[in-house]
Amino acid sequence: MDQILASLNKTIKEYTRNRLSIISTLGIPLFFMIILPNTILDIPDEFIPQIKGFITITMITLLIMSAGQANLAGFVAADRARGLYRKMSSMPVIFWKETLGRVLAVLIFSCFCTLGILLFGISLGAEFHGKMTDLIPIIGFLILIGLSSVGTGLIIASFVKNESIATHIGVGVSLVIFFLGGMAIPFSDLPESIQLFAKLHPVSSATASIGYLLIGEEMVGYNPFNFLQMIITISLSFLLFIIGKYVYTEYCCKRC
Amino acid sequence: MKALNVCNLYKNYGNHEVLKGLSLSIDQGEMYALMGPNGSGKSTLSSIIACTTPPSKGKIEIFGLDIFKEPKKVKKLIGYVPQEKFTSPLMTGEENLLYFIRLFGIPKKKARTLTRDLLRQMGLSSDAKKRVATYSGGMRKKLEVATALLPDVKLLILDEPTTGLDPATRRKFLSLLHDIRKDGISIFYVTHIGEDAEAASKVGLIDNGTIIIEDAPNKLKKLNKYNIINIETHEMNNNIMESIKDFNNNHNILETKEGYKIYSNKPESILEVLKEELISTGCRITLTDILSPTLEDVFFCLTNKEMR
Repeated sequence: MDQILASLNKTIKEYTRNRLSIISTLGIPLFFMIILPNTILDIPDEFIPQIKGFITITMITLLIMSAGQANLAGFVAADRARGLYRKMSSMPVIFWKETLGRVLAVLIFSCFCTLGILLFGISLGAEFHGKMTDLIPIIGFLILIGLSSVGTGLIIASFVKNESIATHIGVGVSLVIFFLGGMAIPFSDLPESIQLFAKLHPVSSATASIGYLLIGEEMVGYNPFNFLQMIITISLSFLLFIIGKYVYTEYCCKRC
Repeated sequence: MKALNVCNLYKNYGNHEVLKGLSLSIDQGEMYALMGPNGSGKSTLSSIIACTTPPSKGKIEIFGLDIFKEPKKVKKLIGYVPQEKFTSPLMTGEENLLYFIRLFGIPKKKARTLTRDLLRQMGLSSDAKKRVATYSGGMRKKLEVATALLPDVKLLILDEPTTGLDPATRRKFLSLLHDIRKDGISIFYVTHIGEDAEAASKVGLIDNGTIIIEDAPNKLKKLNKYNIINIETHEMNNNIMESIKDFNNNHNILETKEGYKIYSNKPESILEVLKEELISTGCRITLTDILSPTLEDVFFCLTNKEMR
């Protein structure tokens, strides 16, 4: 437990003290939440709160991706370049506990940022139509987004040794998922092959599911709640996380 | 029981053989400096002893425990300080130390007390709440050593601990190592600086993956039958070098930043003649001196290689 808490505390401190991490996880989503609704023209006023609601959801996804894929990858790469893993290898550290601490830190940090974004969205006029019973599946989907992002971040960090490059690759991957996953561009405007990607990728699929529960099908563009897509979303989220955890242990922790 | 016993150790990276049957041992409470030039295998050896790199062949025992058979037990006995600055610049000195102590598996309350004690021991109490990014090189190195001085640690392993430190800080740091040794902790450190190696009770000189000689630093220097004629000149060129070589063809000659070092067993008898010889060739001499050998000189005489 001590090792998990040590790793968790360190990672949380790095997230909250690193300016780049604060800007990318909170600053950029907040900026887009202010700008984006004003760029949409020819929309009847009654749809604006729903659009703001959907933008809030996509910004929450963007912040989780940023924390998990970009910042985590950068922090791990920096620790690796700094020789931290070499130091840890000489200590009686159990690496799954160290990893768990990092993962929990990403989830906790993302959770607080999500609350902030959500409150800011509501203050800007975002509306959601979910029921209280939807809360548990919504939290579940947010965790899936977190797990896939952490998995991808760990994969990036395991192969890229430079902090800046790892962070930039993480940002790049997040933007690709954001644009091709039906979050920046409406799902119905995407080509068929890209629509398939949006349905298959766990982050975009989980985001669509949250959007479906809180806003409705007309904003998401399709109904993601079918057995096959749910199985794929859950399986791929865990698969990405397990692969990330495996390569992180093999390439960061053991081959330091 | 030996604190460290390395026996016939080999390490290959592909076809490149870094360690070639290296053996050494350290007694309990001993301070051992392994000195060698870059690429001689000293950092590889320290990382193998610290259980972070597997060897290709060989045996290592720490306080009688085989590090490959009982790594968990061994890792509780060693404190390793790698060459890199591994502490987080975003956290304070206290937070960094607490992080490593808790990674070691020590509960929070005990970890806090230990953190305070270690910071006091290292003279960092007043800077404990400052972020490591604001620390000087010496402060950061002290903090990193503190991360290795956890309970039960009996062998401290340091990789180039004084690199990047100014001479005054280096001396203070080495005196700190002596204080740690007084607490009964055995110390093994690698360096390429002779002055740092002289602070140890025993020095091993490593070249090309093997230890060429080991003994107390004073004994090593006495083993060296040469003294050194140090000549500093305005200019350095091949003509001067050739003149010295012609004059002194039986001995080693080392080109330094300021001039030349000539290794001779009778330096007094040849110094004046050599000076006249060089002046006659047009060489402008700024300083001549006879020096006692340093450990770098001992290494040079044994290997004909410079310590870089």
